[in-house]
Amino acid sequence: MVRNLIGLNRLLPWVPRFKSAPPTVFHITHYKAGSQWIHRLFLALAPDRIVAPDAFHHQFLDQPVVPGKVYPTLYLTREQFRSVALPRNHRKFVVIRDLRDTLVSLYFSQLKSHPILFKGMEQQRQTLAALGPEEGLLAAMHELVFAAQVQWSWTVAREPVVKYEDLLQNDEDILADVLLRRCQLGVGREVLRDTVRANRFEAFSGRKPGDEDVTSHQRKGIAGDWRNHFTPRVTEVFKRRYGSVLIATGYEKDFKW
Amino acid sequence: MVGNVIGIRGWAKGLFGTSAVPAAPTVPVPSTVLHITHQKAGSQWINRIFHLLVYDRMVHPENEVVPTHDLPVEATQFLRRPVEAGKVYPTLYLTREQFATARVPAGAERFVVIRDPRDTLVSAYFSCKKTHAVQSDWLQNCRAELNRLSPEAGLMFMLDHWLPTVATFQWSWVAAGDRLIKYEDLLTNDEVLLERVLLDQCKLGVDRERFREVVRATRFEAWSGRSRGNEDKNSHERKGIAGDWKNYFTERVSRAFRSRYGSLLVATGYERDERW
Repeated sequence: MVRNLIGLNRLLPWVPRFKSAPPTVFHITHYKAGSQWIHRLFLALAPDRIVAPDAFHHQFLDQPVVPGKVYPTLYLTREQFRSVALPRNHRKFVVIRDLRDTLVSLYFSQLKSHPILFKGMEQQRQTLAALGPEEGLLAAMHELVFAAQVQWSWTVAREPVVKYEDLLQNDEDILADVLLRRCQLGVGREVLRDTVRANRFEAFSGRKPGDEDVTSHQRKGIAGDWRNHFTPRVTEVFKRRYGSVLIATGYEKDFKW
Repeated sequence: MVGNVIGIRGWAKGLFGTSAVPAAPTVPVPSTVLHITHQKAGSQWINRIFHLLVYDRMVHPENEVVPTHDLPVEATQFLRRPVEAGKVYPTLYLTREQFATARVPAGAERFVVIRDPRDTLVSAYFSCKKTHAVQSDWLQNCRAELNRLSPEAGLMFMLDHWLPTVATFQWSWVAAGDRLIKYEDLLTNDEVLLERVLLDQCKLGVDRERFREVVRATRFEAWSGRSRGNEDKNSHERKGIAGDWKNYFTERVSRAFRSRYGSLLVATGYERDERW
């Protein structure tokens, strides 16, 4: 700006304009916490900077991190994240979701909608199909251990986290703060706003939030759906296993839910 | 009491008036001691030490079998009844969040013991398969399953069905920022560490020499009659060592363990990274 004011750009056209390199951006989360939604936003806003996700995170854990790139959908604990050499100029944000909704979403995803990526997923789908909903949720609960570990690890470190539920309520403001202010994604506020609106559940799925399609990856798009699926037995077992992480992450005050 | 026996209190009252009579000496209430840990982390060892030293002050562990066929609810003596000041509560298998639901007397001292969750898993595998008294449908079913499965499949079963509560326990106390006492350190330096924790921090109020004798008398070797590492799979005191998981973990079990609990091992300081 100073160069423009004093006319330096006209006087010294051969001097390259100073432009700082954008920070490397890491989107850390766990499965079923809106990761594909955020991924779509990055695809629309910074397609040239994206390092494509890999089911086992080889692009991050086993290859050098490329400065200035955007790494979406990293399902990583803090310990895994810190095990890799990171560019000095980097930004990260961590998105978590109520583990009860994560469980329900995971259950339907494994049962119906998620593309089969490897052999174990097919086997899990058959196992869940043979069980009723209650037994199926209890079986899927074993798969929740990793998501719980992600939540604990970032909570233990007292790192700020973004809650998926808050994003559902106030996506424009929160994403503007996270992606524009903190991650310096380098797009205008209006572009972000239009992109966010175009990728909302309603726009992307063609259904209103709460209208369910169990065969779609965009199944229901709401928070609190666990109440429609948790039986007393599932609730009791869940409380025993994950009740503490719900309190530690602020989703519940105690075990009386 | 002494004042009353020799009549000093009556004499002083007559001479100087009521206000001059010194109050009867109050016996200090010993501190409430709360031993927080998870299963298979030497909890029965510490419990034995309390038995021999402060039996009259103990509030013994209780649990409640639940109709969900899940693991029993632990520590109901602490969660369901008022916590008694001056008592000693051993083997409280509670996360910090569960612990926080109880009202604890002022001045209560707590200490938290953890164990490498890999050794915890192996220890639990043998305990559930062979030695632990069957007190619930869950354990009965678990034992049948473990006796049906290969050791590798059995460890995988325990990884999914039993270990999550231990992992939750450890994460929650790491999050709380409490100093965690490692079972492995107790194995190598029991007298010093337990003296520091139970006598200096928790003010158990017992004679130091007596305390040391009890610690020595309750060690694995003394209690089981075997040297450490000498295994008896049919005994609750099976092997008494740290690092035994290396003898039982297959590549499949290690991989599954790392993916679920690898970060916990780093967070608790048992590993530096996930390349073990």
